[in-house]
Amino acid sequence: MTDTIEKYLTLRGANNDIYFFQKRVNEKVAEVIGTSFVKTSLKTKVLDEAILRRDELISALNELEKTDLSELSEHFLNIFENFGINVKLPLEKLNESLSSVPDQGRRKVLIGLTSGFAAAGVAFAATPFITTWNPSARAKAIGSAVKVDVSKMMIGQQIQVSWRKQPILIIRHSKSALSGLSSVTSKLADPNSDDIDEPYKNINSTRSLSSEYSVLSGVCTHLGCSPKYYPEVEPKPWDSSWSGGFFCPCHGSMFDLVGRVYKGVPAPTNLTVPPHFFEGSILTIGEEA
Amino acid sequence: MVTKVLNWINYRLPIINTFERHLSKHPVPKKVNFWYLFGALASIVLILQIVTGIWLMMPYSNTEEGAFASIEYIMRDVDYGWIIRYMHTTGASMFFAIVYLHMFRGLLYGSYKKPKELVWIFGMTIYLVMMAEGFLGYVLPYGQMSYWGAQVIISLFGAIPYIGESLEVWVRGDYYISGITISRFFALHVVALPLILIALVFLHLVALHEVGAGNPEGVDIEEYIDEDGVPLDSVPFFPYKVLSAMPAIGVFGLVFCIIMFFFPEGGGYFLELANFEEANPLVTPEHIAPVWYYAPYYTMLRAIPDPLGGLIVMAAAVAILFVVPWLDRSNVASIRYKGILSKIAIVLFVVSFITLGYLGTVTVTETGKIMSVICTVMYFAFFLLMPIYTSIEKTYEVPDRL
Repeated sequence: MTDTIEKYLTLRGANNDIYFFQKRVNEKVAEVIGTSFVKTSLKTKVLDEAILRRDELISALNELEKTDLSELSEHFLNIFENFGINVKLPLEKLNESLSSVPDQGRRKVLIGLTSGFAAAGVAFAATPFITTWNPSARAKAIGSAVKVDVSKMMIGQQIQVSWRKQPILIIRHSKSALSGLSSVTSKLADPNSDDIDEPYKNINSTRSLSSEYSVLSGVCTHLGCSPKYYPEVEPKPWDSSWSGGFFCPCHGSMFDLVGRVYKGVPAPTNLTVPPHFFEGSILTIGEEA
Repeated sequence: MVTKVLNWINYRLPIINTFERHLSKHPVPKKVNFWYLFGALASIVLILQIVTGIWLMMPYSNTEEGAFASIEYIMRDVDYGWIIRYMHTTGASMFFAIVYLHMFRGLLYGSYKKPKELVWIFGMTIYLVMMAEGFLGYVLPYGQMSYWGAQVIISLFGAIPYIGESLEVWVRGDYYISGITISRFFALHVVALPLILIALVFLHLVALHEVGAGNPEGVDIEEYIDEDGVPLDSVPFFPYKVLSAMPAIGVFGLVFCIIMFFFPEGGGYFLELANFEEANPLVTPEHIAPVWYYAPYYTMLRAIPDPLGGLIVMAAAVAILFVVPWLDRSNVASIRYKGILSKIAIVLFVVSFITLGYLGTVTVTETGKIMSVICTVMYFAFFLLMPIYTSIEKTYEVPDRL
């Protein structure tokens, strides 16, 4: 335990028998001695001696507060040295004196090379930590193609299958729905899918390889929610002149019946069309023909 | 005997000195108000979260098949498992409530002013890590809202140009949020982020103790010190602050228990109802809303009709808090001595932040969209105009002593 006996003096040590000096100093002094709280042993067990040395130290600190380090007399510098307090020049001045060392350029090259090699080492060492986060071989194998028989779908029906655990939306359109598609063109952001790279875009109005079915990824191009199918042509809370399509419950993106995005909604692009092909009524998703 | 042992240790490891310096004898301003309680409350909740978290880890299963079932198992079959889980979920919401109040205290009384910039920055980093921690924790039960909430948040990475899509797959480790994602989020939630959080709290406190705690008057108490270097307007932390905080801690405990026992779901704001259903990657819930503490930022994300723009605005909303110490040009710290402009600004800020929070929890509507854009602008205006209104307004004179 420490006991305050005299100002700035405390007893410390195994048997509480060595006098210590501790004092808070101002910012200017702190910069020179490298700490805002001086704490040093006075190397004595005798109170009178301790008080004498304390006053010496205080006078040195006061002097340092008043004058520049370079103007500090030898006497005070010695006091600091005796008590193991490092007085050093502020960094700027230190740099000035360092730059006069002749080998500075060589030193910089060596430091640069060493850090370069160290950085390369860190990069190599980081590789396994980063790549273990990639999909594993097992996760990749699970993502293979799926087959669906679409002949049993009713007209206007939407079914959903899972490919890579993503919802894939399959819609069997009525003739009237397909002919009505052109009526919403003016509300769409990208009616011809020019903004996305997609091989099926100009084949059918359904955006798929079939003239009757649409095959769409049910992942909203905004932030990955699953848009819901609202085929009815009737006013909806999100659009008073709704002519059927998909509405995303998360952020209110709207798409028409073949997944083309409306203007002024959060989703930036049309719903994507996954790789697929038809063999009669069997639709394969996840593979090209 | 005890003193002897303590002295023996103290000589080799200054445990008593450190304890006295940072806790029992640490000088704190003698006059503060209730706003200064939230730091202490936050550390109590942090300990609670760590302890209940460790207990929850024991019966929890971090697999795709097992995660949701293990939560039901904790709730139904584990003796008192429900209380541990509700303590953890209530603790999460309370942690954010306390931290929001703690941060608001900082804005009110200028707790970021020179030389407290680092205290503020460490604090903001804690808040950032807490947001990540809360998100990861929310995914672990693998309920519907866990899944779709994570889907939205991870898709934010996808909005980053060029690397976005591969980054998404990399974060998930799969093509959807699967067991692989769950177990990695589990490791981050229970080990990595708590370690970082504890280190940051340590730095936050060390930096605070170096520059000294603030007070509602914005007076620098270090200017008048006695011969031992102790500020005249301070009292030791123990017993003065510890005992006076006791009633407040009691009240907080009471509120906590009322929520935990009677409203653990907080009306769907603390635990969303859709999360009582197992995750289904093929069906999005009718209405996706974040937990209340993310809601203001979520509204900003929704307000911008472009994912990348939304992401940038959302990130900027948090990032701008970090530079507040350099935005406030006022010569006084406390709102009490600032001019009328600062007072109006902070009221508008609170209104916009709460409105943003409310909008984030409800379905998108036409008026809601316009409101969210207006509030987002107000939120940013508070910070971006701060250098102007704090420097042109007339401030009042701060007293010398507390």
